[in-house]
Amino acid sequence: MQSPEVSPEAATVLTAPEPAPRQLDPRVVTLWRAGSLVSTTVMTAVLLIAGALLPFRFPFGWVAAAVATIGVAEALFWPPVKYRAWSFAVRESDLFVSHGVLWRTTSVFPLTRIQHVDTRRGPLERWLGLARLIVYTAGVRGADLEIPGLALAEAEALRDYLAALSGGEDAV
Amino acid sequence: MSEARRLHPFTLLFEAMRVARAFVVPALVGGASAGSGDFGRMLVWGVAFLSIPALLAAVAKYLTFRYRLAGEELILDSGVLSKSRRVIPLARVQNIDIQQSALQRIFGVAELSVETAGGNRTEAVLTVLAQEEAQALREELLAQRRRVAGIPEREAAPEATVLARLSTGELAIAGATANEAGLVAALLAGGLQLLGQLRIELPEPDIDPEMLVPGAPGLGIALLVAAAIAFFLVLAWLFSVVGAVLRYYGFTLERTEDELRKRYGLLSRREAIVPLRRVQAIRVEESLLRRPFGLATLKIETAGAAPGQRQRGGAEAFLPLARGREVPRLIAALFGGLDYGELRFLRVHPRARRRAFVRYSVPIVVAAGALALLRGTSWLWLLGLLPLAYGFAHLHYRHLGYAPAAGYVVARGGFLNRITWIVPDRKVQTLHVRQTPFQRRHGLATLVADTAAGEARVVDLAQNDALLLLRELTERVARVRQRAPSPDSGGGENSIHSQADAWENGESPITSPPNSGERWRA
Repeated sequence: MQSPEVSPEAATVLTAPEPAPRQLDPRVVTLWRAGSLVSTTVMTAVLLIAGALLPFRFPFGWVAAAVATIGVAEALFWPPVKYRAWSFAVRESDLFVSHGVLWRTTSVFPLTRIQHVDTRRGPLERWLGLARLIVYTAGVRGADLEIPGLALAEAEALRDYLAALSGGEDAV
Repeated sequence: MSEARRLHPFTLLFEAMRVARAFVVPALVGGASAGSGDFGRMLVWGVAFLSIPALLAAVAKYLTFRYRLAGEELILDSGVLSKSRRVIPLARVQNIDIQQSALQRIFGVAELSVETAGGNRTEAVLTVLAQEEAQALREELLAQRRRVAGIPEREAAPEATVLARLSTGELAIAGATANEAGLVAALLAGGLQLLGQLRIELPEPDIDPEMLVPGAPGLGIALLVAAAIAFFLVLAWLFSVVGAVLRYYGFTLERTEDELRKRYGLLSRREAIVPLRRVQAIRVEESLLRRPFGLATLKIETAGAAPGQRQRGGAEAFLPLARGREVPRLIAALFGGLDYGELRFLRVHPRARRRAFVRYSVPIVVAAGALALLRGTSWLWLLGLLPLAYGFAHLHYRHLGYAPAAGYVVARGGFLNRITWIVPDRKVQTLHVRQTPFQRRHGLATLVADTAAGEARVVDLAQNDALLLLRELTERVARVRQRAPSPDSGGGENSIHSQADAWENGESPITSPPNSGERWRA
């Protein structure tokens, strides 16, 4: 009486992006790890400094240790899971994206709806030779797409391809 | 019109009044209540010190502000020290709105505002124009816009058909059944606050609760409370009725070849024009209060701030009150080829009900648990709310749904205020299937069709159905775009019909794929 349940893999097949879905550059795992290690370090440092300076009876040391442990564990285990959940495909008339581990989103961005396309690189991304691709549409919610962790050359090629396809048409 | 023009000289008058409202009146009130003497004199000087520069700035603004219509653009120049020029391409204009407050009507002036899709605020506001000037400028803007868009010029004034008129009686009904939840809640809160004071003052000297209900003082107070709440509710309700009549008095909705025009207002009048091809979505709202009478509110979503709103977001009522049997005709007038009356709504997955029940019962159980821990007793009655929560969950589920339609995405949801979203395929910007961890556990998913203003969402479909619908809509959207190569055929009347015809002759829209499992009929 209920629809058969489908696994995420089957879901990808169901929505059938004809070109096989692509994955991000594997270096993005390093990027995410480095990013969360940096923020963990900052948070731990702030807690330790607060513990040294503030005259409160509060177990800053323990909280710092907990934050550090959770942060390091997250940096070790979470990025590969996130990486496996990310896939995208440039199809004939749209950009197909599927991502998210706990909150899953499968999106279709019709190429004619793309307003403009950016690539962006932070310091960590520059160090790893990666870039982010950002696609803007005129939609209100979930309107802008960010594909993280693409090899620089790939990101630029994609940007130019998508920008050429999104005509100067008034798409609203 | 190519020469630059100033606003109407009355701008100065209105600016002076604005300054007065901002500084002088509060100062006088403050001064009067603070008493005279040195402090009062200081206040007067302070006000003069602040308000004179404000007045001078207003004069300078008036003297430097210029607007002109040049070719395909509306150009606004302003600025005293740093000059700024705003150029608005007419092709981008979404709505044009003329508004008159009661005061502006007395002086025979009006405010004209122009919306474009880009900004999140009104793009251009010409605050004080002579009434005729505002009308003429609007017509000129519209004519220019049409010329720019390549739509053939008209010789005569546009022929308008009246879609709907609302009588004062109907407006009173609209006000009486309006879902002014916020207002009611605010008044209720005020009432409760008052009660807090009453409870302190009342029992001892003034009224003996024993007198109200002998032998049960608690009940007496409860009755007083109930009476006060009822009083405030009735007051709120009366305000709502009067407010609706004042605001929408003489409501007239007209349709020309390519525009929607509406006029309304008793004290402050408003005339709004929305180009039909700019309509992104229609919302049909049927509140609990209105459903028994077969009444609904129709709203349209356009990109850019809705007329009369300074901020973007929120739909504009295109008809505050519509009788149920008129709704299909009104929707067809905007979205050709869609027969709203013939739509068959399909239910979402039954596990939506369980999700809703869990969502409602978690706070109840948590509250009961907390009470049990704190006081040991009197928490069991809270669990008595659980069947009620189940009832609500069931109603929530029964009102979720979607309807297959040719060329349109139709989704519905909400029990207290049931909202039906209608989004044409050609206005879809992006499509998503989203799953929260809870939805994943139940094999459910939400389908979202986003537009440049507002979205249609089908909540808690079976995951499989959501993905099939996503594929279906992806194909439909791709086909619409291929069929509509020129920028303007995205919404002109003819293209709507030809598209609908093509759908009727071609494939059916949401065909039940063989492996989609059973569907739940509404």
